[in-house]
Amino acid sequence: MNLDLRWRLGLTFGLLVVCLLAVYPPAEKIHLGLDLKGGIHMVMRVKTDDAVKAEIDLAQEKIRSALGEKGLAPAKISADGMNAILLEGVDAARVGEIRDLLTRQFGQYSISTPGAGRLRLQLKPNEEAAIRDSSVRQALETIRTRVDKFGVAEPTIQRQGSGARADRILIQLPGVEEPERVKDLIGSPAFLEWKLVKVPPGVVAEQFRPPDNPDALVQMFGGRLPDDVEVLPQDVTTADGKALRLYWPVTKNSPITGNDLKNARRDQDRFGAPAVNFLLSAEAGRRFQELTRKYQGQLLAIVLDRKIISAPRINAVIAEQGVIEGGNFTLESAEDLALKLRSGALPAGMEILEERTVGPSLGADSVRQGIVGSAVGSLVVILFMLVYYRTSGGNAVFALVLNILMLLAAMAYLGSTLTLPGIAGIALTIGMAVDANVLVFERMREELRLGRTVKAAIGAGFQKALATIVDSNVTTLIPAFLLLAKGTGPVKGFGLTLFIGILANLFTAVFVSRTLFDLVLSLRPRMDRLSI
Amino acid sequence: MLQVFTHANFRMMYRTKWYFIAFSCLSIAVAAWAMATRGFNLGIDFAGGTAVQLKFREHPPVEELRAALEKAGLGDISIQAIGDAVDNEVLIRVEQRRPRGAATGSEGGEISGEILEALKSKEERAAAQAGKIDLNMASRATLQEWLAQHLQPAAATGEAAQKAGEIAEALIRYRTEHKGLFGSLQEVASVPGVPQEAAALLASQSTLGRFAVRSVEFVGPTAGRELLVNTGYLIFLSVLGILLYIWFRFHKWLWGVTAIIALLHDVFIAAGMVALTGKEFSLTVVAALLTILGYSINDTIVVFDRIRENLRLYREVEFEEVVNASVNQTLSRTMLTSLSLLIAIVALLMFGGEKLNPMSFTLLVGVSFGTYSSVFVAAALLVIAARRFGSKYVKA
Repeated sequence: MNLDLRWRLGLTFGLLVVCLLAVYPPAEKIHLGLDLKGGIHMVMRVKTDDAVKAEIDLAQEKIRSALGEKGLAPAKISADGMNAILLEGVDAARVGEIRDLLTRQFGQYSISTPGAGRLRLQLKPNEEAAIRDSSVRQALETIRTRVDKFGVAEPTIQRQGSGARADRILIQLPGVEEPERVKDLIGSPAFLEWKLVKVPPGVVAEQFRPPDNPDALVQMFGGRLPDDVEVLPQDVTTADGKALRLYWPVTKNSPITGNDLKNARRDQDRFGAPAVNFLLSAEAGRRFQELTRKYQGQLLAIVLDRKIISAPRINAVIAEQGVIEGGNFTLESAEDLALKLRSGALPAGMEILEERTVGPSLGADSVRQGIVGSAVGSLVVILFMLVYYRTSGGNAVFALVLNILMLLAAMAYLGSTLTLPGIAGIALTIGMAVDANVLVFERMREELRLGRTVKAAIGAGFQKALATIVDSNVTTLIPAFLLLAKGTGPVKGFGLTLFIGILANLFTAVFVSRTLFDLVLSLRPRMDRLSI
Repeated sequence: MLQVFTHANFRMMYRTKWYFIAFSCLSIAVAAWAMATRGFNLGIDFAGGTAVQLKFREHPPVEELRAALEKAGLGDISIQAIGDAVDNEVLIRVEQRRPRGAATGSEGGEISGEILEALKSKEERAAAQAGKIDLNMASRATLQEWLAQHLQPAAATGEAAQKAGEIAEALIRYRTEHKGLFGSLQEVASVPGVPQEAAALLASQSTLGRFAVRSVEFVGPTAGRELLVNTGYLIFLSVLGILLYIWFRFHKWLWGVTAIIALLHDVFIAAGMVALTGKEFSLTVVAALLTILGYSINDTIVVFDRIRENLRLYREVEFEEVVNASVNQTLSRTMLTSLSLLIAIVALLMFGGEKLNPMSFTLLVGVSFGTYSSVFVAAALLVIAARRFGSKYVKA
């Protein structure tokens, strides 16, 4: 046996051992995709418009108070489009002064004069982009915290997309099977506010019954709501099980919000029903104390994401500690609300773009079917090769096995996930793996038929088939690579296994198979018949 | 020595080739007709909407389900049985529509919840009202909490919680191994790892919903559109890549053109058969079509290479004859390589399960036609072109 052959044999079997080690034990080394192990896959979009709108709302208030302090308040301040503020009825004599003040205090805005007595503050594009970006980052952090507290093993929570699509968040939660609960847990902003109920004039707080249509409520106020009052809905279920939506008049401003919370946990109310217990920061506790003292006997609405949970009467002075009750909570929903409140509110609403939940039983079925499908395919191909090419077929079978091992080892080494279409990719690789061998063997047979010696036939077979082997593999590599690089989700997994499989194929066909033939030749140099 | 077509000498490239051309034209016509009249059964990836796969304990009452969903006002619904009849599985699809707003706090994806809610039977609702837990729907966490509460309400901490966790684990494992569904309450009692007291509690205080959820998919309008654009881009790049390769590989443009015609023929017919059979046209089917694009060209390359080689060897022989000889010489390897791939694909089609079926089917059609076309379309067209334009365009 010459040195070169020894090297090649060593490399081949070394590779075999390395691959075996890399793959064993497969259950640990091969990462299964969510479609195989079960879980939730979601792509969500942060509605960054919300964050911009919140900034514009806040800025309006700030402008009003800044100008008000100096006695410069214009007749009207309103939002102009999504990212600008319009000041109307500005005192013409003092426009310069106002401009100076706004320029100094509101550097994020560029100021223009669209007409007499009017000023327009446009949010600068880079500032707007920064607000959007930070809202996505904040949402990402909040979702991470919520998922951590929910207790999911190995979650994937990532920002996705770029440019105009940089508002995407990918969430993968293996093993979780309650999509409805998770969607609520992750997607709801959980912005909590306390607002005083402003009962219509002439109505005693305890006797106020919110109507089930907003117009009726406005009528109770004599046709026009006061400026500082807004209407918020409450969803209730009547005793006979009918869903009803009630409308409450509440103050526009919220003296206490979720931002003031220090802690929240699931608790029970006086009747043993699930409720959420909260703890405010010391400073907010003092404000709450003042508020509850001042408005004792009135109704205080607890508002979550612009919907009223309940509006209990203030019976006693409350400081840091209190309870949110009467929201028809179940154990689960009380627990989840406490969790969301502890994790903080999302800076903007979320939209689900895509959701795929696979139950663990379906995943297990898919794995089983995929393995059976591939295994049956392999066995029949192996059988076919052995029957058709006899001993030489054994060579091809070794190459096939090494090929699959290399494919799996590469997957394990790269830490890539195996998806269901990925299994299909492996099955195709099995089908194509023997192609190269067929090309070489057919060439060898032709050469033998022409009366060449075994050694010459083997050499010529490999040499002449090489160009064709490279050719046929390259053409399949093109779409495989594109699916891998540009495909989405499961299809990417197909591209991946096909791509790696074809590369492994090239290697085993050109190098490993040749080495085995050379081994046989060196053991029996005078061989005059080849079992092919 | 076992061999096929060792000394094959079929006269394929003479008059017979017109039969093949006719067959191909017919296949293309059928494919075009299917795509034009039947169209594709677009999967949720492209059409958007919600799909929920349910497994029932008994034969699913499809008409009743349909009525319940229609009553819930969910719009355009399709209910279809999938898998074998004994699997009792249905796939419910609801068309895309504008989100009605925040039922779950976040927009989009709320329809799956509405579907499940609408499908609950009266008995299931009553059981839920009575505080009974549905063992076919409960998740591990819910089950554990419920057990901890009900087994020892007074001391639902520490040891009891751990025990509840173990029982829940045992039940869920059993359920997962049995297609995600308990058939009867007796079955629950027999699950290994569930102690008597828990079994007794479950027997009286639990219920078995008539179905379990196997999967839920939702693709919103934005995501669907993006997927479509992305797929179009992918197809474009693949075709471009293959064209570049062909251009690089064949120096005579007529060879390239015939190779491309053969290629399009395969992909077109495969897509047509997907339309004809009404198989779901999903992302994986697109992946299959692209794979055909790559695979089917390589048989053509082998045949063309051999033609070129022989043209150099036998300069004085008629072009038709050279092509015929080349096709015969490569026939055996063309058939064999395709055969091994077809074996793998058929195995996948038979055993790979429902999800991979449309993909395997597309591959089966595409690879079969790919093999056929490299011989009977590509080579035949080359002969016809040689006749029509004169051999200076085709001879190397």
